[in-house]
Amino acid sequence: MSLRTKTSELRRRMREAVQGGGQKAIDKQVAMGKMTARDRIIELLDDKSFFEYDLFVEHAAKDFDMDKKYLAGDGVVIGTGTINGYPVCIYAQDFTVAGGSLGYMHARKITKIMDHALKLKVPIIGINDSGGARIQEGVNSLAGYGEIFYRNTLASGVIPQISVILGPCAGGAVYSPALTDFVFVVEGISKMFITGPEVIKSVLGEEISMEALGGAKVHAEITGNAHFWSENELECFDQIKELFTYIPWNNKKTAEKFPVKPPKTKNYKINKVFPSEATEPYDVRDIIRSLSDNSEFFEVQGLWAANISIGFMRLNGETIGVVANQPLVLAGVLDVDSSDKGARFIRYCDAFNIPLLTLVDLPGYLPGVDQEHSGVIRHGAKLLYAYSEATVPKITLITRKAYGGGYIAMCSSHLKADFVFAWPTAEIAVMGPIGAANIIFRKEIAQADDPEKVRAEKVEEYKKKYSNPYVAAAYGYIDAVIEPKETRKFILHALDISKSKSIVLPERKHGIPPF
Amino acid sequence: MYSLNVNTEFLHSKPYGFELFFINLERNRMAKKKDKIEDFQVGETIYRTTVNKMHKERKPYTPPDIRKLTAFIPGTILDIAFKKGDEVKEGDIIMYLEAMKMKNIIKASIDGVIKKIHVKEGVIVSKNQLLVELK
Repeated sequence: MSLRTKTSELRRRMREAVQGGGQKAIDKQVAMGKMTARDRIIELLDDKSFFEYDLFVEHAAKDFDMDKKYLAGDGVVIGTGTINGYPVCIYAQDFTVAGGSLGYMHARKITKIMDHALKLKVPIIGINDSGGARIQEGVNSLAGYGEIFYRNTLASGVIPQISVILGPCAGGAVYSPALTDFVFVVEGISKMFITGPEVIKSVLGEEISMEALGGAKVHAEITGNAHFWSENELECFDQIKELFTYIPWNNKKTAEKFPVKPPKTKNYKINKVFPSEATEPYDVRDIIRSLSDNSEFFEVQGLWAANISIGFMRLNGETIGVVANQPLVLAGVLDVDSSDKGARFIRYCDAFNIPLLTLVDLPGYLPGVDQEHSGVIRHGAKLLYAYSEATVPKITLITRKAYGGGYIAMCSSHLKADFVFAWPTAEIAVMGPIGAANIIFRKEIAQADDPEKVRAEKVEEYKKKYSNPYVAAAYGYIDAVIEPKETRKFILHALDISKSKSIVLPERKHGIPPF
Repeated sequence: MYSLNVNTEFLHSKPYGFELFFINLERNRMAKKKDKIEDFQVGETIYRTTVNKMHKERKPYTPPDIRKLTAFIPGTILDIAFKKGDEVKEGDIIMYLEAMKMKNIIKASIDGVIKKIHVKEGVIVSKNQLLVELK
């Protein structure tokens, strides 16, 4: 046979393999607003950058007449390519082939590309669209999941791991995304749960739709499992591409430097968006945008636990992780969810050499039985742990109130922030003025002829004396009290001077964070 | 490792009809500027802020009443051994609550009399549903 006939034989085989589950299944997939696995990869990666491997892998199941079935590529597409020119490893489950069910060879393909990613030190992206374990393959499919989870854990903090949920992701399958850094969901398409509506109904008698149980909005707003939510797959891919501009390929590199762009100070005037009265709301993202390059802020988990705002921005072209209390939501209090959200992001930034900027303006921890009973002690401790443990440059800006435990937790100098700046509007105190006056001047207030008048006087007295940055500055807990308009200058200098920061931690296998 | 570059042009045609769009970052924001600003107390200070739905739906705490027996897990009621007015001793098995293929025992929490049984055998109950009241 000539090379030509052999090549056409190869082309014939390839054509057959890339058809996945056949035209009927593809039509069904498209009717649901979904793309096929290969098209998703091609859409996400740079043009013509995708190289596919293991196209001719076949499943290894023998039982239940499975040996008579052909499953193209065993229901998963793997390969390598680039995003914005950055190399990535990628896999996408193909729902058109046996519902994207995970069997032994399917899992082997995924673990192969994961191993590659870890070896080559490049990000791994997983596109999940699978009905779950392939029941006919029994314990082999469970083994497959386990092998994936193990690799997710090994790769954690070494290479970026991105999970894109573009279809069902149920049962054991959900734990791979849960172990990865960022999870993307799409409205009406993503579905994640441990036990589905049918099981819940038969065992517990509770009726709920798939969407209400584990749809995109549920995970973006209620559970916090998802980091990015979008309306369709193309928008989701754009979000992934944008994320990749902010993060490095691996933990030995830093994120790519972008051209320096000043903030659009005309649109974000601090004296316009920032009320100095500590009880008034404002959107902290406007303050972030008043500082960041081109006034851009790429928010992470914007829909969940919005009382803390986290995300990426650039300062002089370099990526900075921002953690900011959000006075616009629940006055910016810390609670169970916002502590979790902040702490995990801090650890992400620390793992990938991204300096941290913390904006502080919070009344403290959220009071309430439900908070105490859901473990606000344990969850709140994560924030302390994450900040203390982080060795990347840590810069803190206290804009208004920093009371009590909240002051300590939000990257205070005691948790070894490198630079703590405060605006003249800052109030650093053990608690708010009303509460403090009530305790300190309890006797005077109780014994007064007009207790309310005395209380008001004492609150004012306390405010004058202690609701300012100067008491903390007098002890050196604040490095500089600065004018708001000078903030960017101070932060840029602090970052520049911290370039070769190095800290030696006590030798240990690993710490035991309050998970 | 076997590799090939899938040439998209000869293998694929795209049947999708998505329209052009722009990333709407506003959509990924929970609090929008038009959201209602209301009073919110932390400690003794009242702040002006938005209050989200989850926070509004918080249930106020009520101390547990040991005379009221509730389902600690959703499940099915089996073998009710007493009826209204019966005397029970602390630890008596009043009924079983089958959940996750396990039979859980619902015991009398005090010595007393059954004031009311709120469920029938075979019904499915949800978590925290009231099953029996004692007096």
